[in-house]
Amino acid sequence: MGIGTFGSFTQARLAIYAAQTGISVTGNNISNINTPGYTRQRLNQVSLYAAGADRYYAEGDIRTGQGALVKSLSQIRSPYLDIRYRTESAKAGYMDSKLEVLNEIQRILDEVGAGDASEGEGGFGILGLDLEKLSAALNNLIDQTGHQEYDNTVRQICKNLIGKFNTYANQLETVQKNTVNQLKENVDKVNNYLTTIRSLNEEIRKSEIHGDPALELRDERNRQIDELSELIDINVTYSEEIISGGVTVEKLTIRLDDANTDASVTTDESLLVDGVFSAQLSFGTPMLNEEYDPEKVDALKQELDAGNITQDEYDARYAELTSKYLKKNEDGTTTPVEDIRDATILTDGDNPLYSLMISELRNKVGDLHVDPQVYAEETVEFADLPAGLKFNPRTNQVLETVEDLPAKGDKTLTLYRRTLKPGTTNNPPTDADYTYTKQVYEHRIAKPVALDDNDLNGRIQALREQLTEAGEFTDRSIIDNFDEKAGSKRGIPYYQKTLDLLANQFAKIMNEANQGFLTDPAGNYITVGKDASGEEAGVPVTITGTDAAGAPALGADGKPITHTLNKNDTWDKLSQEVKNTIMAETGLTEQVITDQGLGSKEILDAYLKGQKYDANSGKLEPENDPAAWKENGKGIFTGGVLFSNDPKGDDPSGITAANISVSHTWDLTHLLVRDFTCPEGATEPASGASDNIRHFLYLVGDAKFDFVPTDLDACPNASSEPMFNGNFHQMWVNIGTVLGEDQDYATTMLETHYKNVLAIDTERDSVSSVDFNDEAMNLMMYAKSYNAACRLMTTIDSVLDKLINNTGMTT
Amino acid sequence: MIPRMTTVGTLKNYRYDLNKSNNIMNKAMNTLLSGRLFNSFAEDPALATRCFQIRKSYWAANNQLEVNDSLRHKYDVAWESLSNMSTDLYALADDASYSSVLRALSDPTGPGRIALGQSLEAKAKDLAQIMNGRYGENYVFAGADTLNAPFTWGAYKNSAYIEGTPDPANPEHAAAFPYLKADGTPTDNAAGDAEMVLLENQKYDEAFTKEVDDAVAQGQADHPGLVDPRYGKYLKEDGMGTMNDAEAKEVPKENPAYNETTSFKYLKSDGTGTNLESEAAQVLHYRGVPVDSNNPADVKKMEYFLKGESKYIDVGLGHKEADDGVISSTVFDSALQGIYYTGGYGTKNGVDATITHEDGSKETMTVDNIPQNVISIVHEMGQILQRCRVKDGEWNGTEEMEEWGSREDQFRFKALVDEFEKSCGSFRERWTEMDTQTGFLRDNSELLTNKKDSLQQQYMELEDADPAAAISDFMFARYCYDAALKVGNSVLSQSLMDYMSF
Repeated sequence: MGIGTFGSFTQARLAIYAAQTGISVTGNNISNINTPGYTRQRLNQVSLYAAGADRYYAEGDIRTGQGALVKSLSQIRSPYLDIRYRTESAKAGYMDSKLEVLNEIQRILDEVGAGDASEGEGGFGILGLDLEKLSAALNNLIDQTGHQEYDNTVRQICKNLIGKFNTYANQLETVQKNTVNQLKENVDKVNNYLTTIRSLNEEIRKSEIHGDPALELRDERNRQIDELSELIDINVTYSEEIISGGVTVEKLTIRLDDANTDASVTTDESLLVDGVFSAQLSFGTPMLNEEYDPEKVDALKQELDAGNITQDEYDARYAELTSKYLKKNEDGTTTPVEDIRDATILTDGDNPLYSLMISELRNKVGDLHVDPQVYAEETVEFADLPAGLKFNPRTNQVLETVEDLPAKGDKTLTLYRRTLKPGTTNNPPTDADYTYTKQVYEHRIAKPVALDDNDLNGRIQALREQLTEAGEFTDRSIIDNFDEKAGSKRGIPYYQKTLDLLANQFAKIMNEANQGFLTDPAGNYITVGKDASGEEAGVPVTITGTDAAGAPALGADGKPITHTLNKNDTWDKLSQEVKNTIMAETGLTEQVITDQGLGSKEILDAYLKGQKYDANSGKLEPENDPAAWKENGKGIFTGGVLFSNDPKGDDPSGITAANISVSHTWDLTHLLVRDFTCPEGATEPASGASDNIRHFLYLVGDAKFDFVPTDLDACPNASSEPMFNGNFHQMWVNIGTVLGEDQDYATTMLETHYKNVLAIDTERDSVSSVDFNDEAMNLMMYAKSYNAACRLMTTIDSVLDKLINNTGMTT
Repeated sequence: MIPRMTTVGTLKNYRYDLNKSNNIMNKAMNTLLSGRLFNSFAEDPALATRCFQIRKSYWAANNQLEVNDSLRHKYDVAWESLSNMSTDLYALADDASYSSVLRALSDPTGPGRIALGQSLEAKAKDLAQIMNGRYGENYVFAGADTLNAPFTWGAYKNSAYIEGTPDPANPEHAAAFPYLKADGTPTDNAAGDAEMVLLENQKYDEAFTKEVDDAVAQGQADHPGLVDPRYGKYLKEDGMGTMNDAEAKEVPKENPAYNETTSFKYLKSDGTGTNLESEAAQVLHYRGVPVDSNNPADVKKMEYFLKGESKYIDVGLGHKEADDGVISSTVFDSALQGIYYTGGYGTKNGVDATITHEDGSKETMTVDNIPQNVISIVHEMGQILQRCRVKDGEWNGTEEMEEWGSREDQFRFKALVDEFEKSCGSFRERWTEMDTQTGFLRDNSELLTNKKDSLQQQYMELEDADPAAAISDFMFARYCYDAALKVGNSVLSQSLMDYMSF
């Protein structure tokens, strides 16, 4: 349509308006240059062109545009870069949190450069140096055996050493508590983000319905999503939601981003936000039914069919095999349940892996989210339709069946639709005039999801791993049931348990080396007897053999069978007669020895200690009572426990870095055994004999041991393979080395991911952020446009003035 | 497409780079201030591990050096003690009165023997005292029994002593019974239980008896030989010899193992028993064991001291244990057994002592129980000399006993002198051995010092920052940081906005 005479004014007016709006948009961009998450906005202008035929045809009439129309404001974003940014952000967040925890551990366990420089010990470390100081004290004690001040020095250094163990263990405990708090805070953050995003979705939805693109709200939502992506790995998608006929609004959906490498796991794609519905994260794990094994149902059915079990038994067993979860009853019993909503959720101490659950999605008012998914769609012939189907004449569809799915509230809907075939002339149409479609929906009500161990990424996962991963100390059941890679992941528990193992092995080996029976130079165990002159002397422990009935056994020469017990004796090499006597004295039997897996040392020690096997307790009694062994033993027991699990006692069981203590007895007396070998006829070693001190020196400084995770009482189901072989100092250094390697890796990876994040963010900025030059250009452009439009207005005014006021006038 | 560098993007990059530049400068400053190339395992795990290992070796070498030096001092003291002992022994050998006694061994009138005897006994005690020398609080020559004086003078314990009432059924108590029954079991009942046997003439000389019997057979019925103690295999009631079993006196069969001292705990110097410690002879003991005892139990103890006992110390020889204990070549045995340096233990039997008279004739006697230990030898020499007759220094027993057997002191002294000479020779050999051990410790000390220095050098090279490099690195990092700051100023200052003129 041609423009009217005064249409040109409108054209100028639109131009002025467009330029003014442009300046306004540019001003907004400049104003928000420092606003986090702000996306630069762009004015979308179109040329106004009025289409249609003129009422009167005019020769020479040229159709021109009617000016510029400001159509909309839009943001300039790249969804692809957003996805890349958020994926990388999760990785960077993961490494950053991991490194934060490792740095905390490093402040405790890394002794590089540490030491008292004023004592010339700078760089020698602290705990590591104490081990060396212990070696030095032992070497001095060898030289000065029997002088108590040297013995005291050894004890004091041991106290210093275990003090370090205690301190480090306590500090690691503190790191763990702080990390738990950090994890909880981060879970709270995730929940806040999810709630905020849901609220923003609502606001954006409302705005969109009213025609407002809500760009600022979108910016805020993007910012929230970006921050969420640092905490967990997410996948963000946008779709169109039909509001009513022809009206659609954008719907934002956030899912977990398939972080689990186990393809069979689907929980790693769980919904977090779907439009105006969102979930929450919480700590907990459903109580699992260990009997759950649906594959056994067929076999069970066969049992029933064969009449081997009753229907009731079948039903009970069927429930066990097909129910994944358990519900704990008030009386403490459990009932198998199929639905996670019925299961008992384990939390706090019952949830040692800090497992997380995603709640059901709800909207602001608490309505549950329903996820309709088309399960199958097919075209069917009319003849195949169920009989009696009545289509709604307005919607041309009918909901035929509703079936309850196994989970409560879930439904299967079968929807039949009919569509009029093109070219139909019948009025009303007949059944044959339609094509029929059958759609099967699953109408799933939102329900909680128990996340698998590796479903998350980002900071949350890093903190969880740092709190739970024990590397080689991981329980076999966790590797089998939760995370097959858990054995190679190291978090705070790994470092705690490694320190525990070092303390435990140190105590165990030192304790073992400080207990035993005195021998003569030939290695025969001795007891207190009398020499030929009737004076007290050390005489060998001699066992007189007996037959099965307990009567003295005679040898081929007719003399009683005797055996002098030697430290190199082994159970299998002793004669049966001697074994009979030992078994009679200790109450052991061949059966008990086999059942209990007792070795030579344990059996012979029991005999020498005067222990008796107690069938009720299944132990050799008295179990840990050096005083009784000294009193009633057949050999001369000497020494005792140096390190215990409590400074008030002498109990060497369950020693960890946190509880290792100098035993009560050692604290009060001089307990170090200097030697187990006595000179001929003596009942105690020579006053300066020091072979056992030398042995201690060897154990502390040079001997290499296998450090096996299962040696820790707390890890009976861990790997039984040695995690390290070396001396104590090497094991200690190894802890630092492993930590250093972990940190080094995390640092490198963090730097890589951070650089990637930065690069992607720069790319995003190149698309979305404000640039002064651009805006300056825009300012100039819109300013010029504005001027030009004004000029246009003046020109038109001038022209029309001429046309109206001066046309035909002569002067 | 050319990337669109925006103000916001540029600032973000700048912030990152500036932070990085600051970090680098901070790290360079830490290196400069701490003087270390790395301050955590994470900075260089492999190098940090290596440095800890080297430092451990350094610390161990330092400890070993300290102990080695302590041992060296102990050995210096030991060497000094042996030197004193050597001086004493040589002084004794050179002593004029001792020489005169030696010269006059065959001369029963040698003067000054008693005085010399007293001197020798005192010398023996001196020697024992020297061997009881201490380094610090430890007795140097006590083997592993370093808290107790090794050489002591104590009551002569009777090794044959049987506590309580002897039991004839106990084979170990056989020595308590003087007689034997017909079944060979011991008894103290001479009249009833003991087997009766013919009294044998201990001085029976078969050739002499035959000569007398031949003379009697030829008619010399009153041959004087018939009353000679050498005559007859048996003895009659009147003590005269006879070859006639019927005439022989019947006596209870003696127990050859009988020892009349079994009821006494101690022995006096004359060999008789006593239960009073104060009456007992004083003999040299080493770590509670009589040095001159041949009792198997005592010998076993001494053998253990000499061959079985050790006191191993780690002086950097590669301390290592095998299944059955320490590998001896990887440690140093610091147990010095005084008994070893003083010539050993026990006594020797069947020693031929030969005395050469002034006329050149020689007289030899076999003597038993000659001690092997030089202190015991000197001690017994002193005791023998002190037993000489006061008025003329004659050997004990010479005047009263005409028979040659009674001159045992004289021959015994000669045997002791011979043994003393040998012991002095062996002492010198063992003293030399100690020289070797001391030399080893000295060399080892040097080796350990070098090792320690070398290890220190190694870890310093690996850990310590070169000051020049650290300073220049820091300066460079600082320049970079300053430059980054300046760039920042430019980044923020210039844009098209600044050039807009309307």
